[in-house]
Amino acid sequence: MRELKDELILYDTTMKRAHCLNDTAAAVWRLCDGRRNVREIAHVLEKDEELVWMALQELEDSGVLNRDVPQTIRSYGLSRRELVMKIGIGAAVALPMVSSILVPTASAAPSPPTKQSPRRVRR
Amino acid sequence: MSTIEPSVPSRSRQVKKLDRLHWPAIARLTVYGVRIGLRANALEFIDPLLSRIPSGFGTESSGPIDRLYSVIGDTKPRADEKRRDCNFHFANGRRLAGGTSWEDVCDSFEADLEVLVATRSRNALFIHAGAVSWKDKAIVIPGESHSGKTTLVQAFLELGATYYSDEFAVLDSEGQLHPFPRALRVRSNLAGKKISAAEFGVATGVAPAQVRLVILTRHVPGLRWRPKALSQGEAILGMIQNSLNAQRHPELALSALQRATDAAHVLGGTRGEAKDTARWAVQHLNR
Amino acid sequence: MARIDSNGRAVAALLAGSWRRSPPRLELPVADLTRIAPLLLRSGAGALAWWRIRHSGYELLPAELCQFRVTYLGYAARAAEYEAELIDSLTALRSSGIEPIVIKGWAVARAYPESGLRPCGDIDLCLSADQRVKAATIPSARYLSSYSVDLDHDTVTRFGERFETIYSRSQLVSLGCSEIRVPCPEDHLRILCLHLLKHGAWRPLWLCDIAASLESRPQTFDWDRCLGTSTKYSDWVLCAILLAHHLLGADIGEIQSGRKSRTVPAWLVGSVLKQWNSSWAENLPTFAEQVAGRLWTMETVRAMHRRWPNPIQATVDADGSFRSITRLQYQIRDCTLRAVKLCRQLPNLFAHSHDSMLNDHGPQY
Repeated sequence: MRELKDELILYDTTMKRAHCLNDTAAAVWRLCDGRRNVREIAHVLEKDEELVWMALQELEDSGVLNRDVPQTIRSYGLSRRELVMKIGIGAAVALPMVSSILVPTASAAPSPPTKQSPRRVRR
Repeated sequence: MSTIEPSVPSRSRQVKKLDRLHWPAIARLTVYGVRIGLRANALEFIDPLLSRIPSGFGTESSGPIDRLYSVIGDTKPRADEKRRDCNFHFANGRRLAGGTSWEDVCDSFEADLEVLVATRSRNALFIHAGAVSWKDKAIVIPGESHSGKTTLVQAFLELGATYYSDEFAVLDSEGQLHPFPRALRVRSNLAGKKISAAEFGVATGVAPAQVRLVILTRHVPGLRWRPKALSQGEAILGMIQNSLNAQRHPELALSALQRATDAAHVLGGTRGEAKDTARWAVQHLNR
Repeated sequence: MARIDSNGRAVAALLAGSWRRSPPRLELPVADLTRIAPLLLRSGAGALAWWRIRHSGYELLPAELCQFRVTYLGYAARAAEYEAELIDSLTALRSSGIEPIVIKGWAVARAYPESGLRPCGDIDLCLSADQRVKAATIPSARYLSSYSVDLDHDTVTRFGERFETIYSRSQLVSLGCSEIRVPCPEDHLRILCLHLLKHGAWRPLWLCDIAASLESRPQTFDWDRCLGTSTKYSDWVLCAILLAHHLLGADIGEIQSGRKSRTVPAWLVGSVLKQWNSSWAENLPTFAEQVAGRLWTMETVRAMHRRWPNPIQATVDADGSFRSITRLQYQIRDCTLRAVKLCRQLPNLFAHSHDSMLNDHGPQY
């Protein structure tokens, strides 16, 4: 794990993936200790619950969480665009974001592009 | 005669056969933390190979090695000194090059050593990237093969930048960029005559430099350079994606990249002509 | 030396016989070599080009062509790392009771005289259906499958063969102190042919793989086993083999004896040469992204033209015949299916591009 100024880098040594969490996603991740529920996390962070659900969705999709999230932002029927409209355009920059990549092996780096070249996964 | 114990847990049949030969010339070295053994059937074959090793290699007298190179050369003098029959092996007993061209043997050794060091180094992070410096500010251009990074490096050199590498950016654990210059290739015969950057009239970096600019770009013909600022996290991911030994040494990778990008601007986006991008970057650094 | 104006024909002329230990002498002007150099380098055939040039006595080469030699040295240098990764991948799977068959990649590189002639690429493995389910639950196997190890390669089973049949005929070959399971020569050649056609034969290297496999086949090679029992698919395989013979001069020996003599369809040759005329457009965004990004420019129109379905791929996707008079029915079918898929993707893509603008708070210069 590496703490940057506004981001957090996580390296998964089992799956050989590196993840970059923006400050919102990182804040939610830090509070995922298996004891707090979504309402409590939202209360601590002073953010909307839907935002926390979205962060959990991002974290789950990236494989950063240990367990599956029982409910997701999708169950609210909200897309990212709809959520932004709900919480306000000005808060758009607070949307959680997780970028992930597969860390290449030694022989993979210089090969010509193939159907399975490492792709950056941005949610 | 000293012996070199390769680190392979069990020697292959080919290596055992080679072990039975006479090796009067033996060298044991470390290159960026990678331990190599080099043995030859005559002293005269060791020096040309040593000259191909990146500068700054140290000598290592004991401990297991990562790869053993064995060179068997033709010691019978011939009219054309360059034409020698050589066999070239490494620890798995694989023949890397052979035949009459000594230049082929040396080139093959250099290429294999380069990949070995880049993928196994324990004390430096190797990234597929072009690297130059402008007024002591290092510029790193990560990219896979044929992504246009060499063209962009050349564009920077034409503006007067100092050459660090057109293939690998080498970062130590403090995030400092080290030079890894390779001789440039010019119009030549089949052997591919190489000329050092200095012979080209280009300054080559010697001392480590602090990274001030990272350019994560890909070349798309016809487009204009429209750079966008990226975050430090995006820079780290982009550089990991082009690294060769990050998977082996993730702690080193994260440490080196965090420190390298702490004070660096990171730009992303597609680019058109290399000259325009290089000019823009230099003006940006001059501010 | 006569010039060859068409890039595709020049590529074929350069790669003909390039997989042999002593390839035939090349008689191609340097200007033609320089023109097609980027096509070969980007498609992974740079080392083979070097091998052919090296044995042809060219005196002076421009710097661009020296890149072929650098490519060859690079492939040779990386071959050891690739093999180590292959062994690690197999060890991880075998420790969980999974025994894969290695296809393409390393399995076909053995047919070349030197390890530096063919790039390493991905590790393609075939598993049985049960083993695939098992692999999905094992962390180490999940990691493998998420990266460059393809655990779900369907070329083996998609065209009518059973994995168990392929497995029963497979062989163990040595790699250092390990043993690697590969298909028998007949099955592997068939797999290579079907793989080439499935992807529209865009990559010249794949046809060289077929040629190298053909010429390294054992004396006991069984053509009936190779071509298989399905009339349609055996014709597909035959077409691919005849293509290697027609374009690259591969020696096919006695393949036609006892069979109704067949020639390679002219449209197939034309289609392959057209693919080889230009480089693979890896820098192009997907058409859906272009539309969602509202790039309503001539570039979009050109992209539509470039994406008109490859007739080879369209025929395979439609399970059609290579001997039918026209490919148009397959291409229209392919186009229609893609248009439907695009229409389904567009709402999400528009939403995503809108979100990207919202999240994109970095300064623009």
